[in-house]
Amino acid sequence: MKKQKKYFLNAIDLVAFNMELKKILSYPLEFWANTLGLILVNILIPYCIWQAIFKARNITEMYNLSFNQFIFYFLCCYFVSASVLGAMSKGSISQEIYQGNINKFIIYPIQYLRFKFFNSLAYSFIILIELIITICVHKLIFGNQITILAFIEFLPTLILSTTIGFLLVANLELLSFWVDSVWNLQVILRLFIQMGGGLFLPLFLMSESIRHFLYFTPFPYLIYYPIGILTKFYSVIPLHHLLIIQLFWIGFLLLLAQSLWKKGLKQYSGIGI
Amino acid sequence: MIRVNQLNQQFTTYKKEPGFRGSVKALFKREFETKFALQNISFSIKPGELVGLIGANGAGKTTLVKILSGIVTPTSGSVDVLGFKPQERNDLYRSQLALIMGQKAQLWWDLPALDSFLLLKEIYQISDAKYNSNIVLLSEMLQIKNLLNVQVRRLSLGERMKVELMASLLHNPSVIFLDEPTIGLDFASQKAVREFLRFYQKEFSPIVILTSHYMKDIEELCERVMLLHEGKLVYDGNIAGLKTEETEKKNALCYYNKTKIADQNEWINICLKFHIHIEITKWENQELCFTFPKSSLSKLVPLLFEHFDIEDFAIKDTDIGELINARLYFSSTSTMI
Repeated sequence: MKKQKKYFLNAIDLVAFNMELKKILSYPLEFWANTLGLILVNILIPYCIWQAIFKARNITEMYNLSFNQFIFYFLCCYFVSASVLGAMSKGSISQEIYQGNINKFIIYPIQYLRFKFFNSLAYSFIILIELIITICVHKLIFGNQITILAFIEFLPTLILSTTIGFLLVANLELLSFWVDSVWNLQVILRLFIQMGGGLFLPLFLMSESIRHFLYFTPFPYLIYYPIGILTKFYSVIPLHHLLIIQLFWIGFLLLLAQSLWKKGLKQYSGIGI
Repeated sequence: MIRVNQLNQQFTTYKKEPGFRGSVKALFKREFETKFALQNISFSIKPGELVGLIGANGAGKTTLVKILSGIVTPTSGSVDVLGFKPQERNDLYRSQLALIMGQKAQLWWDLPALDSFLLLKEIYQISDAKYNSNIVLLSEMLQIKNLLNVQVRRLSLGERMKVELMASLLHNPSVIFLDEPTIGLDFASQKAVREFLRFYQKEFSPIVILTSHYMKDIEELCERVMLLHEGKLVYDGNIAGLKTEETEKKNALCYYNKTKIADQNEWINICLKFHIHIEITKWENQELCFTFPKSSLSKLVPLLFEHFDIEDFAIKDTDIGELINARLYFSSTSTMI
């Protein structure tokens, strides 16, 4: 074995990313059904709800946002949350622990969580491509105001929020070393990420006290703020503040994940598997 | 070199009473019990040895393999493999070992094997030259050249096992753990895997630890066997050594046309007169099966032909599985190692 040089990115990371990408693309029907089906559902649901609200109140704007801007906000929410929850879509870490498939990763000379992170980035990469196409199509049809600069500012926040999302999911799934099922906890975490991230209701429509509470959690920094940076539909904290807060959460969750991984492995018995 | 000294492994599992009441009770209070998977195991394995690890289900074979490969941290005792403590999961150690579990796939199900091989090339930092030569060598030896571009999930069980073997050996490991590599395979595939393993071991001389329930695997590949029973090492030696005076018996199977012997007891008594202790296992429809000590063979055969009008007849060695059972039975009354 050659001594591996330590780079920010190494060949294993790229192969892990590449393999997952190939895996996703190896089932074309599932890929297109997921892509087009989910986009359609995520346009239709907010469209129906918010059309009813706008019609009932007989208004053309709410909180300085037009109906089209609301729909575009929810569409962006869908893409960002899909990127953030990319790793959770397969529940892979917990399944690997429960079924003993983690054994092969323990004997490989690699860092398991890093490998899984680059696996999950493949999902996020596809979502990013879909988001770019959606923005372009939306700009052509509805003429949104998203600039290239706004997108460049948004990109690092999306990468960091995807990392936080992965670590949140990974920490929860690592509990599988101790508990028999984490499925319910996954559902609860998903709801917290989606609600706290503004997927169901933008945070500016929530009460002051709820918003104040959410600032102390990682959730608003996953979806709501990055979309604010991209769309400029509502005021958000300055970009550098957002990046610092995101980096803080990554540091904290990374330390927690490493600790859980080490402790989990110490008592992992792989009994019966 | 593998050195294991006074190795113990305990597992804690929780007990739940059956039924709804038990489920509700378990919500508030759980009862735990400790199980001993391995107890005071000590042995050493020299470089280039191929050792068979045998025993019934739950005997501790897979647990021992998991400890040696670093998957499971032992409760107590010392384990040294190639100068490393496996539980520390040193990268240099992990890059020298391979684990093949017949019941667990390590290749990526949705991708062709070559894609998984490329990942393994990066994981083990295999040079291009070594990677290419190993791909050619192993695929030719296993006769799977045309399968490497096929999605793994589309391969048959036997083909998949060959591809798994190839994946595990790409980096030329110094220690190979084979946990039931022939499980579920048909006879031809089992034979092919065995032949490959024999050849590979001869060619590259890694330490190989093989667990299998197919005694043919053990008989054909291993000179040394370790027998585990309820977490204890009850035998460590060659296969011939499994045979004791009590266990070394032969089986006789006879088909006859007619006989003057009235019943089983009469035949047993006739044999006893010649100091042959037999045990009849079947006697019906002119078919007679019985076991007898190997040492009595020369006296027994004329006796058999004298009292039976034999149509067909066969004598075979005791199956190794039966030897193990007999060994385990006798180990409960005497200490073996």
